[in-house]
Amino acid sequence: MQQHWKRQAQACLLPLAAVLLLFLTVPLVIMIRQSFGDQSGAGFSFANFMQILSQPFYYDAFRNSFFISIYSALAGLVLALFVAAALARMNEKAQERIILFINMTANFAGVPLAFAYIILLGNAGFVTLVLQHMGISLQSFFNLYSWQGLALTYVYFQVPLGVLFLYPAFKGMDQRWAEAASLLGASRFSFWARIGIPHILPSVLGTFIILFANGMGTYETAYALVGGTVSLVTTRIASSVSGDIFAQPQIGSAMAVLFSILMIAVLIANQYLLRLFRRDLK
Amino acid sequence: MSYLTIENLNLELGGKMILTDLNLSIEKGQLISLLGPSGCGKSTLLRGISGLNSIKSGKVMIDGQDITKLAPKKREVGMVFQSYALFPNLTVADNVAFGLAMKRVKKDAVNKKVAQILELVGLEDKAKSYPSELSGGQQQRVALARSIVVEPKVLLLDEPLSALDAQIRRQLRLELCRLQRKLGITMIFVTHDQEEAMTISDRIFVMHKGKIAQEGTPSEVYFHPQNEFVAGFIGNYNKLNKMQVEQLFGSLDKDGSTYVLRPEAIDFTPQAHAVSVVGQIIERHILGNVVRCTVQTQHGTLWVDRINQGQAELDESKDVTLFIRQEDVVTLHQ
Amino acid sequence: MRNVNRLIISLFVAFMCLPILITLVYSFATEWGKSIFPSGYTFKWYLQLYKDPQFIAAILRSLLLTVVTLGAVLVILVPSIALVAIYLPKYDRFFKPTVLLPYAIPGVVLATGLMRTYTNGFVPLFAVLSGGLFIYSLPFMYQSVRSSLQEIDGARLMEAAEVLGASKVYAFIRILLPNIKIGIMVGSLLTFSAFFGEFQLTNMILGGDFETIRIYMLRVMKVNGHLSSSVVMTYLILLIMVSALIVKVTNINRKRIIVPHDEAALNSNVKRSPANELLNH
Repeated sequence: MQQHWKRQAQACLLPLAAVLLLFLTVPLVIMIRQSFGDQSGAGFSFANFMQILSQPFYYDAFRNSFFISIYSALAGLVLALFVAAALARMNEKAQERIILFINMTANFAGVPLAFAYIILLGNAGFVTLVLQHMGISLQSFFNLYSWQGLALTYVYFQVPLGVLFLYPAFKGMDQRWAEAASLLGASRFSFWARIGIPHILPSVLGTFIILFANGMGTYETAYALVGGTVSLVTTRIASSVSGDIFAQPQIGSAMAVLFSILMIAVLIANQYLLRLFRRDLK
Repeated sequence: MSYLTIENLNLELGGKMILTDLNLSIEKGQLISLLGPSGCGKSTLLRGISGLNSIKSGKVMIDGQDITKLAPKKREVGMVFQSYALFPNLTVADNVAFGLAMKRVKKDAVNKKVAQILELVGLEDKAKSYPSELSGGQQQRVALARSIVVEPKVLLLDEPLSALDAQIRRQLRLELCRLQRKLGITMIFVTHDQEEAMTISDRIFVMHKGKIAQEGTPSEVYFHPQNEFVAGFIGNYNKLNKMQVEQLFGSLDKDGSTYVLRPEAIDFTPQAHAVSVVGQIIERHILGNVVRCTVQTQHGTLWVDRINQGQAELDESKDVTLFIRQEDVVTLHQ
Repeated sequence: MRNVNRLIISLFVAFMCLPILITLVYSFATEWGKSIFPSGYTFKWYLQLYKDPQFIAAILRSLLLTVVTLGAVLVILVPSIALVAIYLPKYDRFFKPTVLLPYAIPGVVLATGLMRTYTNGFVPLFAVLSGGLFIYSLPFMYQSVRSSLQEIDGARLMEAAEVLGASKVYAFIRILLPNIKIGIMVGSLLTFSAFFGEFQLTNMILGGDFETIRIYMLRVMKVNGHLSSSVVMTYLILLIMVSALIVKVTNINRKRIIVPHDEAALNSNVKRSPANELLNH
């Protein structure tokens, strides 16, 4: 009876399995296959990968994305730490409101964000004009349409994302731990050194990785702000596979494969490090 | 002829044998307890009887009918879950009516029965409330009402009182007993609390590692624990080895190697057919109505329980003489 | 200490609001760029926008894409999640990693795969796009439905209904679905926001051939910034209304949940926050 029912339940999963197969597994397999092929997708060689790793036109995309993501993730993480710590100490009602506010601002990333930054810091932007009035030329040390501008723009969505991930860790710090520690004779410093920071650290590391991955995968904001002038992994892959004159889909596929491998490696490394830090989080 | 019988039941969960060759039989209208530590398989046995876990081999019979292969909904057993599993989207009345609706009972008959049963458990004024608006004890009563209103052949209760405060638990346990007597329902009650099992049961089945370790009335189990596991789980017995017993009584007409002696069976005053042994009280604890003394004798330390009447002679470091009867010494089997 | 916390939060809120406010002002400005402040204020951009048939068409396209995909998600994905959670827990290991899916397989990668597979015209590109969006709805839906099921202890409810004589299908429809309705609604609204504002997959797979609201926004931005600002503000107001709906729905939910009896259950609720699950997974 039970076995029979199990088989029926499994049959109910078939539509989902079909969707996953059609729109996830098969496309990824075909993409991986083509990354080893020539222009028409036939043949088998590592030529595409060699080309990516040897030509600055391609590997610069990885390098730019990497640094922009690292900088924006670090800046986002540091700011988010302050905000999350402060948020966890507010009253419940305020906390709920801020979290809701953060969720709403998530809709602002992408085209609207790029545009808002252009109005703020672009050639005729509000801040640019104000500084000009004070005799300072913003363009002399900052260019919005370069990797600097991208990194700054990314920080806008990295901070709230970081807060969402760090906040539970700060909230999970039991007030009683601090009380117990002080009754056992610990100073504030030794409480943080021995309990507080070790408790937060895995979340901090995990949040950094998520922010980094988020930066690496960003496409819309970059596409809207700089188009193709700063070479990034996402925009480079997109322009390689989209059907314009420079389309080189096999290279795009190979870049996409490398990109995914990089991201998965980062996530796995994160899991591994987490386990090293905190063996109680099985 | 037993009402519910289980023969050579084997049950496997996730590749692990939980119940092995388990046999059990129950008379109609009795309240029996499955008593054991967590992980002994008592809840799994309930789920096997209700059909929620499928049985690998063996047979479950209720009222002469083999239900081993039936789906849960066809078994006519009721079940009260530890977490109650009340349907949050239905009112108290609709929760109770659910099983009747499944049986396609007519609407006005349903209403009448629901009203009756809610009155019986004292929740007639909560009919329109949602489960989330009730206290834990009230939720428990709804769960009970929901499963008895369909008049199941057997009602299974999986630690139904364990989520409640001690005081409400004791009160509900008595109410449950009264209800059971009044309606004559056959109940199987799972618990890990030996006091609870002793208080409410007609018979107790002590379970250990997927088997029945001992079965009997509460008195039988208490006065004659058959093995070390049951003795350890049920009470605070004095455990004696063969040498200690021989030193106390000289020759011995019992075989076996381990024995237990109830602490309240030991006396401070001379008794017929009793041997005496001198000792000193080295520790004394007041447990409310009982005083528990730890007495150091030449044959080892013994616990002695007395009714607490503020006796001065039971103070610590007093010398005492203990009187022990051989018939109170119970032999344990392997 | 209190004041420092308040200051940090205020600065944070200001930082987050600044770009939105500047866009708002820009959408009402007649001209802004020659002097520090706008030269005048007007409603004309909004009027111009709402008269633009292409804007209406873009909204309708976004809605079409969202509704079709969300429909498929509700019919195919949601029952599967519930089924796995209750009866086939061993398949859960296929679902669990999906919370990291957007990071492990960024949109650009999946879009590449989809384009390489389906550019031969064998499957309509709208369906391909919809399929791609379906994949990225997995984490939202999985988390909201899953946590909703855990909250009500769905497996126990199904068992209780069965012991009382209900069939599995009846118990699923009459007991399970009504009790996870809130989780499904919250998940749907989150997915709605994500689909409605989708850019990456749409732009790569269909581009200008299927101008959704975000693509329209970008095109207008290059022509007329003021008009584009009014698109952004209109879009934001729409999504704020969706968020308000999420809050309302979640609040209904709170009243209905049967309070857990022990502290362990309360603690596990805290630990079950989506962010923690993602990190500890």
